[in-house]
Amino acid sequence: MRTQLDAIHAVRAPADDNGTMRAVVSALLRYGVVFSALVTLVGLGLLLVQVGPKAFVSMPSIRAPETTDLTSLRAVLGELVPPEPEAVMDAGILLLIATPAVTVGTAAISFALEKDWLYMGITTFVFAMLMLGFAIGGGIIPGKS
Amino acid sequence: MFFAILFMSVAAGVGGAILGLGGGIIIVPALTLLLHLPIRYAIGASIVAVIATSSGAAAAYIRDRLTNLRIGIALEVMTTLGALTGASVAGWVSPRWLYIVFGLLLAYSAFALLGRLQMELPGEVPYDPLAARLRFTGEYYDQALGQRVPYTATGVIPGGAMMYLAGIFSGLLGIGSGLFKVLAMDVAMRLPMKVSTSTSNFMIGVTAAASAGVYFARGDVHPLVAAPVALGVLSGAWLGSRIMGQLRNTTIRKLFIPVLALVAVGMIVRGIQLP
Repeated sequence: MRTQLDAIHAVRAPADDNGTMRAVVSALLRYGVVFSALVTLVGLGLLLVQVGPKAFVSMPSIRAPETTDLTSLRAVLGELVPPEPEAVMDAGILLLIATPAVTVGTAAISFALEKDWLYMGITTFVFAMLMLGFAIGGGIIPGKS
Repeated sequence: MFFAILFMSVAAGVGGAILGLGGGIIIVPALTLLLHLPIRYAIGASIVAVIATSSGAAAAYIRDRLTNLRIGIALEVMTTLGALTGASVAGWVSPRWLYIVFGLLLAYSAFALLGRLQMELPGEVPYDPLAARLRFTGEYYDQALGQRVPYTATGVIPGGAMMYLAGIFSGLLGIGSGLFKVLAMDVAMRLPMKVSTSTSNFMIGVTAAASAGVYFARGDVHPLVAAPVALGVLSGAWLGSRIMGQLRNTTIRKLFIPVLALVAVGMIVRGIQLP
């Protein structure tokens, strides 16, 4: 009697071992993470230059009930020139938030290139859900800025 | 303050990367109880932490074939549908009973896992036609065992149902989806523990990214809190992904069960305390 694994390996297409896709998705994640971390670090560096070390010791502004006005992509981009430390940090954080979406989008394209239509459909659905989340979040929709 | 947040975030990143959790369980209480930050900034930072844990470790896990992208993405359909359901019924269900029911569910799972404490690999699992149709199968090289481990999933329907529940729960309360994802893959689908935690690790980032926009627009992501959290968790997750490959599946499960039990008790207590 054949085992389940044998049964599944028999069903499996020969080109199933998508090593290229793994390499691309893995590299995208790594670059996305390193880039967003660098941008966030630059923001912290700017804070150190503009405010001085005391910004890191006390952080008094957080305790106050004041809110950040950087709540949309447009607001963050607007504060980048000239570079406002908090806006640069936020840009780094937004890059980090975008990383999983880019990964899922790339996976959808890879499945399409492999003519794996079932998984292309599944991945596209997940990607659409992500975009819906971003749209609802107002990061794209203007008005709150 | 800054360094306290950074240090705590590194710890959360290491733990989250190994156990497949977002680290919100660690981040939210630490920021509010120890550092006395407002809860909304703590929750905003924990959403960022989830994405950082996921992205920081996922590159290594995907390269090393620990993450099963196919299983992760397919199950993500159930989670996102669950999250939508959760968000739309939010006004109708009492959070109190939700906390208690899910707390009891987790407590039961912790007991169920105790029986599998010594099980390193799932071995031969019952044949599931849906798993074959969706090609829920894979193989990874286990550094701790020094051998290749082929595996295949079973129980796709109960696993998918648990993922749907996990989605409802995170849509309603914004927490706890990593635990449920690992449980669904380990208990229902009987994947190797390492595959469960690293696939969950990939999934939580996708789920959290979908809701991160909402928190950002609300102004809950404060740059001075989220920046050290993001950097700390990223480096912690990177470190955690290096450690995890060396650990045995049984060790990871031994670390997972107490966390599960603690969260279960915390949820039940929270449910009882709610008005």
